Amino acid sequence: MIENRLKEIISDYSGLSVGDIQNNMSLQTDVGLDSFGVISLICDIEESFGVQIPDDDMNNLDTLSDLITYIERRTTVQTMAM
Amino acid sequence: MKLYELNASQEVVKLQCKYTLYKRVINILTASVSEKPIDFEIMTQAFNKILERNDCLRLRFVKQDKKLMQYFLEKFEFDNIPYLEFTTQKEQDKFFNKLKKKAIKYLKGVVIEPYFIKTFDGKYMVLLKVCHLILDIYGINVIFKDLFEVYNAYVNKTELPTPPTKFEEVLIRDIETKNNSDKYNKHYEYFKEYLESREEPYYAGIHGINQPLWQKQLAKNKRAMKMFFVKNDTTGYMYNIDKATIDKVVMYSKQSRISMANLLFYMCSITASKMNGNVSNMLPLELCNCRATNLERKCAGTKVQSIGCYTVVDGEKSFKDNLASFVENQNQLYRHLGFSDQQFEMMLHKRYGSSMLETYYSITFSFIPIVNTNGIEFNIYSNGKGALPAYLAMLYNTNEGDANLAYDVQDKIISRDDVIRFHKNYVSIINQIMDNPDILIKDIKIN
Repeated sequence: MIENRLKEIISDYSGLSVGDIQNNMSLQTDVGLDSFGVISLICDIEESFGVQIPDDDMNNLDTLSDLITYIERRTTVQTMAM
Repeated sequence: MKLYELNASQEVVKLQCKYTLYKRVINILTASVSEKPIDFEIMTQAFNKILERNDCLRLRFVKQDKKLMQYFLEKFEFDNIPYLEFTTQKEQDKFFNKLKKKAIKYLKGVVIEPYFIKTFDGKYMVLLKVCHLILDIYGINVIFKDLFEVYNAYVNKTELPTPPTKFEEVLIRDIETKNNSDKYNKHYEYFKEYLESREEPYYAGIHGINQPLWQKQLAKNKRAMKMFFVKNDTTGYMYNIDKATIDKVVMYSKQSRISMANLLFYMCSITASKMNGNVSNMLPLELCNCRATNLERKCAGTKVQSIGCYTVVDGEKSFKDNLASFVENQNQLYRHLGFSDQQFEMMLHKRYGSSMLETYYSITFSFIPIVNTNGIEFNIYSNGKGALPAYLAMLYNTNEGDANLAYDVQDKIISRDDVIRFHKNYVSIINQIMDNPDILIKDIKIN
């Protein structure tokens, strides 16, 4: 679910179809986003999953795999906190 | 005919047009120049084709209940594009100067004026005078790229490339974002805290600290520079940054995952800081193209927005450490780009007790990757008037690997020698830093 939703968001930004998005794709090098694009993407992800992604964490999120792992962890922590 | 309101970027352009005596930013004058001959008959066909492919070129403006609105024409073509030949530089410059001083009549249905020119030095030029309401500098590059790709397809009898993204789709989303009051309130709260937590910045002009008018302001304990409304003539200059220097920036950008735009912007601020007695906090203005998705990056139109970037340059720290703080600041600012420029400026002056007739924005900086068809050179010309002291457009030639920095500066405070001195220092500083990113700012040398 998380992976599919993230792929949909990245598809909006990259112009690639969901099926063509690979987990090891780099947001900057492979998807081709500039700094503003990366921040916008992160904002959309935050809104979509109801999480806040601090700058320090954002600097370590380069690939889709990184994002999936991060969102899974954050949404698990949120569920446990409830 | 569906009427749309303006997006946030167009609203700023409209304000600049309304409140200036000389309609300063409404005209943008740019050209693509080729040494190889251009068949201007085929180019006319190509031009009419790009009018079809780029809906922003078919925008028209109308006032409704005193509000400026816009709509897209279904179809529009030029029967005839003026062709001019010049035999001397003086003759050519006279024509350009006359052209740029006359405001484009966007309310009378004129948003783009193309010209085909055989230049005094035997080159072939497509010159565009456009209304800033329909195109920003980034968008102009999209248009020129499309024009030459279509022209080459006609000449070589090959298939036309995919058209750029429709501006109408992007405009609809931009307007929704602009009118989202929840988000807007969050931006307001962010900038309120942003300004309250920072001490008043210093203007740090590219002319350096010894500029007499700036010295007068400093003597009055002012940190902002007087702005000139009535007489604000500007002159344009363009100086190259060689490929070897730019290659270093490209390499560092890849290794650090910090954009070239941010690196060059911050190093530009360091140069201004050093030339102004090591000023430690400044407020340069960044023009961000605001094209987040790859589809938006293939869209012409007007989307650029400006942000005042509070920039700290701490002499006791290294470039790397300073850069980390700068990037963190930038990332937060990008989250809040939807905020009104005008409201930010009002908050700025209120917070620091400065006059609206003064400015902290010594530098306005934009980074534009130029994707040129081979052998075509892109030029941008000053429109001769500017409210801000110095507009610097970094034109990064993605094919050739070098860059040209276009300066549009206020004549009253900045001379050609000032620009040359700044540029030499800037290139030197880029090299000093890229050769050793751990260099302490205080150890960076200037002339």
